[in-house]
Amino acid sequence: MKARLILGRCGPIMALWLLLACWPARAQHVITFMPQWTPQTQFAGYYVAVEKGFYAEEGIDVVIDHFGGSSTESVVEKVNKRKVDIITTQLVSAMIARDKGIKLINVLQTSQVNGLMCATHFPIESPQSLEGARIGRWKAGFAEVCDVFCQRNGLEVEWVPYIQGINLYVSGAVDGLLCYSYSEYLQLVLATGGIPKENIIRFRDYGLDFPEDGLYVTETYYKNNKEMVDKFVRASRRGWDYAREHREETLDICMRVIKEYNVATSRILQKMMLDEVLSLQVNPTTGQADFAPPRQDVFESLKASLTEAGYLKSDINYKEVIR
Amino acid sequence: MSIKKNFASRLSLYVLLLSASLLLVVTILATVFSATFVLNEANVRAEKVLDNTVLEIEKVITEVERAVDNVDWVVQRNVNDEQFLYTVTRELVATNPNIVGSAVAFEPYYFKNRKYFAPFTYSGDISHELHTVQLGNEHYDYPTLDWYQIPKLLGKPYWSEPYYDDGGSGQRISTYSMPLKDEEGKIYGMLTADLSLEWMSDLVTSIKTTPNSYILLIGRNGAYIAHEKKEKVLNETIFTSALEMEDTTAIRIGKNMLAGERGMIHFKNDDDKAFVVYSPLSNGWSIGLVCPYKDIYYYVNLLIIILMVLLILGLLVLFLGSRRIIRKQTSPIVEFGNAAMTIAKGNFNASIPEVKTKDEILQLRNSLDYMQRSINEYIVELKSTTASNERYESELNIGREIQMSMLPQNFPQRGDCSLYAMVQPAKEVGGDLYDFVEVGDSIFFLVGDVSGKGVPAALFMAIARAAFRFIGALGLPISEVMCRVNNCLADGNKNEMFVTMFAGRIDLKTRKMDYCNAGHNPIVVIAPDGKPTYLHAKPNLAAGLFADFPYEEEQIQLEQDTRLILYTDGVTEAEREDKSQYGEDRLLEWASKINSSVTSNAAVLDLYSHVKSFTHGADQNDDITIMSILLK
Repeated sequence: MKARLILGRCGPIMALWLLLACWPARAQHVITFMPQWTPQTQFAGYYVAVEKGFYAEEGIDVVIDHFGGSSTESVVEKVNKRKVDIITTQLVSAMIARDKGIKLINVLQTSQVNGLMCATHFPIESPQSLEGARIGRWKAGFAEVCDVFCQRNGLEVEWVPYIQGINLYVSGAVDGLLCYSYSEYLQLVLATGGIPKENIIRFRDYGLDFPEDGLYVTETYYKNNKEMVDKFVRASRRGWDYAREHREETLDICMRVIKEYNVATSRILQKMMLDEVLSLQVNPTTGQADFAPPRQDVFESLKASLTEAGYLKSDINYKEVIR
Repeated sequence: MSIKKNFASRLSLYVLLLSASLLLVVTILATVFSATFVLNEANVRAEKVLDNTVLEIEKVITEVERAVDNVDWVVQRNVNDEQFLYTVTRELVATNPNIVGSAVAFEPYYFKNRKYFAPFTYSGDISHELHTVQLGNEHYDYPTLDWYQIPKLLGKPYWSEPYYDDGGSGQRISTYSMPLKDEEGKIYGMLTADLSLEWMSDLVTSIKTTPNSYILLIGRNGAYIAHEKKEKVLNETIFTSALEMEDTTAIRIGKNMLAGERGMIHFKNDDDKAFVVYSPLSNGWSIGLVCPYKDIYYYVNLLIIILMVLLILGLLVLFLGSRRIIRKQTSPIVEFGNAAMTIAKGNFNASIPEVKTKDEILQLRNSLDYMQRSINEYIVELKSTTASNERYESELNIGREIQMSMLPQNFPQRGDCSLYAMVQPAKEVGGDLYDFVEVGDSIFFLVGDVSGKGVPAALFMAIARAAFRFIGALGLPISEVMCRVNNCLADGNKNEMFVTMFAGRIDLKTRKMDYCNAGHNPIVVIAPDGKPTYLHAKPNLAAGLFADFPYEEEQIQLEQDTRLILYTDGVTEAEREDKSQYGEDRLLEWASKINSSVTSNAAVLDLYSHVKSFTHGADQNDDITIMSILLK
């Protein structure tokens, strides 16, 4: 049976209905997969894997669900509550989750380079330029690396939580905006016609180049469904490899998914995003998109940084998180 | 007939090309001026339409802002009256047709134990029935939404960027938010009014200054709020295509509009040129009117096409008409040409067509007529001249025959002497002469050259020859013969003509030769051993110049097989084209190859042939006379 994408607005009800409706004829294992954000080319590889039948070839039936209609519960909480089987999230989030007792395992590291940055209305000559600035950040999180940055540089920043931050920036209500190079930053470029280079700071340039997106499952799920997870990972990698080689076709697939979710965007923005996401997947050490797991020294460095920033209270074992 | 051979067609073509060039220049200038004028008019009209549109939108915006402003103080006074707050929002929606929703949203926990409190009234998208609800929950955290957060951060009223109101009116709206401030100026809430943008879309899409012109409306984030391509609305920004195409002009337009500027820029729009006039709105948005050139220049282009068609047709008529007129006007020239050809073929009396005009054609006709008469007169004169020339030539030929007949043609046939001579005049008649007379066992001979050429020389030669023949036969010494001949020639010689002569008498028994050279070339003596030498004689004057000149004679003993070559200067002075002469050395060289076995006849002819061979066919410039005497 062909894998399906479940509409966010219909949410879990439709997913459940489809699941039940198809159950008698189902011979394949069903995996519910939830990316950590709304549909966009950030998750292109998974859409492609569905569309091209890579999951089906592995004998698994994948249901992709974007938030299931609720944005108040993070993907980490969703997977912890067994509402979904596999999620994408950042390594930072996974480590913090484990600190809180949610035992996530990294089964595939897609991102190899950190894309977190800050765009401001003024030139950033040094980290101190951000002192006292009013800066927008996601209400949902994702800014822990920036917190480490501020703490290391002794910066006092007025944080403004946002859900969609572009208008905060263009209205002048904030001095700057935390953004990802593949997402909000591109939206800012399209909203303003371009951000001057001197108004941008990339945190990876300050010793904080920690990999971001990866695939995660709970320890329990992994223990019980190791073979299925392996199949999912294999097919997902195929999806990303295919996306890298067939970008226009990938865009077609993504735009169909995005259209189903009524997300306001444009093909051009999604193309820019896809190109950036794929570039962040290139391992700087090998020059290849090899999905290398986070190195232990990087892991330890991140752990130390998060501990220093107060996000981690307990010691986290590399081998427990990284498969 | 090809255009190269047809004068009328060619002249018509020149006229056509000149006319076409002039008309083309005029058309281009007219087109440029028209296009400039039309473009300026389009700009003015577009700005006017844009201003009117801005006024219409501003009117609605102002109405909404004023409605909110009007209730602001009431809300501030009754902030603790929950029911009143619901009523206020309901009244705002009910009494203002442009407002589809209104809320009074408070800061979290402004009211004790209430994180969210925001009475909200909205109008249903279909029934327009009013609904009143309480906003704010974990799924709708309004303090983090733009319409609340941004005016709070800015501390002043704010029009939000358009968004779909999923939970309320179901329409595309923009929210006007007025911060509620306490006495200390601290913001404790937000009074809002939602403005439906559907009417705005209808308004802007209905405005067209030209068939393909369109309005675009963008928010502060560059996103299209209204655009003729609906799929762009809220999905793309004004920079989306510009950045992809790296269109710097489009980027400049976008930045100018976002900067709240007013202006006009020409740019390339979907492979077609266009201009956009833009103006800011008071709420921070910007509106532009795009006018494609193809619309603006539609009538100009149409005019150009019509002009070009008329131009081509006009030029065609001009070409055909002018060719016809030119043909008619120049038809006498063709007839003149035919007449000239007839005359040229020999019909000198051919008639030349008459013309009625009094212009250049008549001049040409008169000239042709004059030419015909002149030719006829010339031909008559030529016939007469030719007849005279023929007669003169005939007489000269007769004279030549007479002159030649005066020279002896029967050469002596003796065993002890062989003599042969020839004269070749340069003209019909010449002044050279030779003669010989046999008197017993002696032979008297001479070769002479009269000064000048032609008939006078021939006549003088005839006198000299007659005198010599008469006096020479008297048996007088050779010097006496020369004296008498000289006196005879000098007598009455008014023209001072003279004749050089070499005269000699050989006693054939003793081979003793008496001779006298009267200013003539030295003769060549070829000894029996074949060695040639010039016989140098005493210098005597040429005959005919002075009477009674005492000529001296000389004597030489010749031997058997001695050959004498007598000649005139026509031999040694024979010239090639390059003016080089035969010369005495070449003559002596020739003579060295003539031995005694060669007859006099053969020797004379061989020398003449040798001279002719030297001159390579150059015109003979003087009479040539050669005589050979071989003693045996």
